[in-house]
Amino acid sequence: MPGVKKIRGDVRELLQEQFGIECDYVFYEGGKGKIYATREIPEFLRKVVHSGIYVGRIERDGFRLSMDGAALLGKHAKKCVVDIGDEDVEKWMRGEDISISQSVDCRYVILRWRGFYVGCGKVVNGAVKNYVPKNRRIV
Amino acid sequence: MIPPVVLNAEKGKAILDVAAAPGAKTTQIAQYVENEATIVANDVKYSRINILISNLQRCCAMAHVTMCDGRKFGRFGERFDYVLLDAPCSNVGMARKNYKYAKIWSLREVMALSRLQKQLILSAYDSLKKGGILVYSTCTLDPLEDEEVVDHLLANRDAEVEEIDAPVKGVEPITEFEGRKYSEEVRKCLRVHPQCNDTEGFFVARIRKPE
Repeated sequence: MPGVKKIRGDVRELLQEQFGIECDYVFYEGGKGKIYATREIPEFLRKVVHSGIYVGRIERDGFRLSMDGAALLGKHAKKCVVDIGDEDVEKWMRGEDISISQSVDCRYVILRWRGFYVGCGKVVNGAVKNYVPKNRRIV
Repeated sequence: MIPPVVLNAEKGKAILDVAAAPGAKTTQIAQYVENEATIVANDVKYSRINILISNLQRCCAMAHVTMCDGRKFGRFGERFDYVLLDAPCSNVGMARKNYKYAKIWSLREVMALSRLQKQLILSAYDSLKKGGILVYSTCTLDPLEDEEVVDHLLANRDAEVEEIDAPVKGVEPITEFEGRKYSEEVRKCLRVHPQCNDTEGFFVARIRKPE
């Protein structure tokens, strides 16, 4: 598959350590350091132009899940998952940072609203920094 | 959409969408199997592949995207448990949505599409494992692109057409057109005209490969 690079470190280990995620997906690095999750590509498929979902990227301080990465892997997470209310989810989807009342010992947290995983953000001074892509924000 | 409902794919199986772009049906299938299946989404045009990848990402649908002529899948042998062939067609069923399709309609184009669809359905059927399911669908109402294509498959392979239990009203499929008589099996297909359910017109057939 074009554009596929070898992964820096073991993503599976990183996800296990950071979020307690155990899953059987195959991870690979695409362009611009993006990490994709996929399943084994059947051998007979020769012209695969793309495979899987962009799930995040490795930052200096840990693995930052994308919005789809949170939706896909959030259900497997055993730690660093924060439940938010209706007001907070509205702020989050508008692209604003939100403050969390519960204390968490995590650099990145997965946000969950009524059982839906709505993204992943960086915890800075008790607030979760927003990473919702601009084309997905509500206006 | 009706074709993924009719396909009724199970988790853990190999699924092929021969003409996947822009990806509405593929994402629906991925949702039904909760991303727990090997989905191959294929399309022949590069410009449409980009839209397909973008929609798969947006809907969090995990699939392997390939770009090849759908007529080549038969060469890989019996690989898939489910195949969805939403074939390229003259789009007459969409005329209510966009009148352009009725204006550009031509018999010559329909004949060419019918030939292509016959090759595609044979290839899609050949790529099915024994006991596998093929769903053939179009958004047109021309018998040359619908019943005739299914009849062509029945005449050339040992395929079995299955009854469709979908929550939509349909009309009786056409068994005779311009002097050509089609197999009685095509009666099991679902032909929906726009006035039946206040939708676009479409045609769906569920075909099983015997064990």
